[in-house]
Amino acid sequence: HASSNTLSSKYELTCGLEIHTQLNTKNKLFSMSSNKSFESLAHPNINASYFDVALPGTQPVLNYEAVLFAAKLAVSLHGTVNINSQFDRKHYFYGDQPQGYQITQHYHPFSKGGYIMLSKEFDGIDQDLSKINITQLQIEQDTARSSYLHQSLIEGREEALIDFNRSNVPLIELVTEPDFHDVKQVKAFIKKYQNLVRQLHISTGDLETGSIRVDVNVSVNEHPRVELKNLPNTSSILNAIKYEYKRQVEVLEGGSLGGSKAVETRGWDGEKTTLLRSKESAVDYRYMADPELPPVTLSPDVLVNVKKSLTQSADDCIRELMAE
Amino acid sequence: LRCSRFYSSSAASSTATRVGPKFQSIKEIKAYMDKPTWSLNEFFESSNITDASEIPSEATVTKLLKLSGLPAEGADIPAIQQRLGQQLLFLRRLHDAPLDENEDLNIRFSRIMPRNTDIVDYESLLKMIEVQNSSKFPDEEGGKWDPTGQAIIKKNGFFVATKQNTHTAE
Amino acid sequence: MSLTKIVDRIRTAQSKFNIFTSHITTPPLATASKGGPLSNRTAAIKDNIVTKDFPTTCASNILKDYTSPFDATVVSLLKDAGAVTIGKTNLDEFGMGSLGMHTIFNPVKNPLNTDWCIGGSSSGSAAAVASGVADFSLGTDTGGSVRLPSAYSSIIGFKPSYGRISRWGVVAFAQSLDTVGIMARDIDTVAKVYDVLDKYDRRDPTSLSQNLRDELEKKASRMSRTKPNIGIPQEFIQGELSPEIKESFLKYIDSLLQKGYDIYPVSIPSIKDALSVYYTLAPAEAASNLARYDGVRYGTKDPETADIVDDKFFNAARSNFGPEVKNRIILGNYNLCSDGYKNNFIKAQKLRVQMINQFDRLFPFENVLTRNKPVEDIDIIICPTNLMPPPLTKSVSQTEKKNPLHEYMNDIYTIPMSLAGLPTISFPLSSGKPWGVQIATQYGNDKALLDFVKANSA
Repeated sequence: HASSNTLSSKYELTCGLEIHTQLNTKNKLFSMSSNKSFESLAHPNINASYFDVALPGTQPVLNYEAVLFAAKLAVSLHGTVNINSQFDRKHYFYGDQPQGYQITQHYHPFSKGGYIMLSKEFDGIDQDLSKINITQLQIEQDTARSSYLHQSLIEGREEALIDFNRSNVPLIELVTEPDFHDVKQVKAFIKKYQNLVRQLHISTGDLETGSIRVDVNVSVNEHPRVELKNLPNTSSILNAIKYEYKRQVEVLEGGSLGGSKAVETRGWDGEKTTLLRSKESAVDYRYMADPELPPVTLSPDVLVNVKKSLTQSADDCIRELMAE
Repeated sequence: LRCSRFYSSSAASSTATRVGPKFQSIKEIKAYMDKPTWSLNEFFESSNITDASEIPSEATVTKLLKLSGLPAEGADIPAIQQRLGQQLLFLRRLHDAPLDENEDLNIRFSRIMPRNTDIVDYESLLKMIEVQNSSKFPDEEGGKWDPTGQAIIKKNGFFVATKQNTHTAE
Repeated sequence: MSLTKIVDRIRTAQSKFNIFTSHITTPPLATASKGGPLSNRTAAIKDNIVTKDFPTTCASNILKDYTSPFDATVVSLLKDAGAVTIGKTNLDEFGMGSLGMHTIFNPVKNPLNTDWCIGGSSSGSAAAVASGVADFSLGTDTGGSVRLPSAYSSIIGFKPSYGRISRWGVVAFAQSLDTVGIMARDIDTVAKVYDVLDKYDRRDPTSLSQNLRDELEKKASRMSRTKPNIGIPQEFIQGELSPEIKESFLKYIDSLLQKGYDIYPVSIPSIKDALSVYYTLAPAEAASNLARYDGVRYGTKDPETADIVDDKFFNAARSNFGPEVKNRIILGNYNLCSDGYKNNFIKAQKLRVQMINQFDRLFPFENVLTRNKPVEDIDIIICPTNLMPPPLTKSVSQTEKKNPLHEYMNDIYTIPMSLAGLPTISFPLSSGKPWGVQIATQYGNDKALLDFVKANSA
């Protein structure tokens, strides 16, 4: 039932994406440990510095390569780079979060605005042209990797093995406006975005390895926004949206598929979306400006030069060729 | 001796730095030292709770304990409510403190670091990346130390966190 | 001090005053051959500064068995300069406290008089110097933690400009305020140690840059006023100031008048807001910094209890914090919750900016961080370090029950300079008396401050 491709005209689908992209900088974001979270899978914690495991007395030092990569992406997306971006702490406890907070950019993100243009011609969407607006880009730390051992020890205890090789790897979080109204647009956007980061050489751009992770906000008509997480590949992203569309339609019609009309976070089990947490259990992240990291103050000349250094995007190349 | 030691009239902003005329003798200084303009004691006395509505609710305290990673079970919640209430009354002084409207009180300036950070241009950005990438500290070189060396529980080079769900345990 | 006798002296001092959390038990090797500026000088290090050779406990159960795999930058610099670290010193847990009473190791006793509190949070570092067992010690000063115990034990305590001394390896309490400080019995030792530690460190993101250090060096040598203008801020004048401290203070001021210094009344209205600003910002930063102690990667935990039980994270391990630390974490999280942040934290930050600006108007030496234009012509400010002589150890717990906030009252003289990051020295007014005078000057002008104290110690 989740495979239905047709959306009813009575119920409009609205989606926004949040995409986390691991940057393939040489080193990590706030330490100079090697950024090799995949190569080092067999050697847990080998690329973990004092800072990466949050030892007492350690401090972050910003890796400027991540700033350069973020600038390349922001400029390619026609965003407005904040020449005075800053870092904030987002607090929550988790085994894979060594500091008890993630360093991110909440109050003053790296860039705002920008867009990706999708077309029937190049991207196979139904509309001639569709502009997907970008809300913002922010630079932040990745978490460590936990793998759960489901062997039950005593009284239903579960063990997570934690590897900090991925901890503090640079990420860019990209947030789009809720500009998607069908699944093809989502598919086309993800593909185009993957091509872009590969072309810029800032990320491997793979969903399967977790280099790119996509969360989707879905809302049908007046149904409150539902966030879909844990979507490991393109097909699960698309199927989860389709399923969620149906589910919300049923909720709106008072049907049987279940669930309340509530803001919540849901996961994907391969067949259906399932409740992960409701709004009530949402954490108060207590964002605080990081008290030790200085602002990232860029001269406008950085953006001019980054623009120059970028090869033209695929679309522009093709357009230019056709114009001749 | 003058009552006020300062040239500025009372109309002067309550947020202005002022300097008065030079003291002429130790006697003048002694008189100055005998005339406090505000009282710390009063400041602290005002944080004695007299009204029960000043005390944060039990639900607030329970929520804060959870955010703090501290157990609510066994915690003396009424004592925490009382203490937090006193602290909040004390902090309420913040709301009465005047801010100078004519000044740029950008909160970005509230840390002790350069207000105008060195602006990074393209060339220096590339230079910094080159320098950073070529100068690691020993702990940043893979395998030079044992990150799990101080962990109470570890397994094959991994840290271990255990999770238990008491509700579904049968 | 002779290094061969040091172990005996440490044992005696330890049994009398409970100074150390750990210390050397065999005589150290002489380092004289190295010929560093601090050759064979003995140092005691506050136990919230990490060391490879000793545990780093922060006087907390949560770190009671923790040993750092690395030395703090300040510890390495002292080693390179030939100093001998004889031990780690007792403190208020994670640096939180003004009286030295919040420690898992029992309070330090004041070598001047063991019935008195020694003050905190760098209690053991003060006692190590006051008892004579160390030539100097390092403490940390977030809101007065070096200066207050120095005054209570009648020694010199120097909190340099924020950012001058590296914090790499200093366990964070509130990083926007945390400053390593130096304690010694004479100002020459303080100045010598400062010279060794006053270095840029690229591992500390708040370390003062080399460019600004160079600029300050040039500016300081251009400073030519031989007799700095002195200001006494009226906000520091308090009815609660004890008569004996006031008398002693006036006597010192009189000696400055006799020497021909010009002294002015000044007003820095923001000083009145200092306590509320500090107790909003510092606990919030502390709650954030102490979130990392979960027992998973290091630190105390009971292996039999799960780390995460239902939706509660790390409760078992984090129960190892002491009561004062728990209180500040709870208050800090209150201040960080969305309403608290908007209403309190942001206002406190604005008031802090205002305070920095007010200080900047006073000093003719331009603040290299703010570039605010100087207005007035006051070179240094002066005030007592403490309101009252140290309380009696045995009476402290009763006062605390009556109003736990009273402990914060001690901080009024020390906190304003912490918030503005100003270099400040506390030194004794009369030898053996448990109080001090504080001298502060503009950000970055540390050398001028040391010179003034060298010329005008009481």
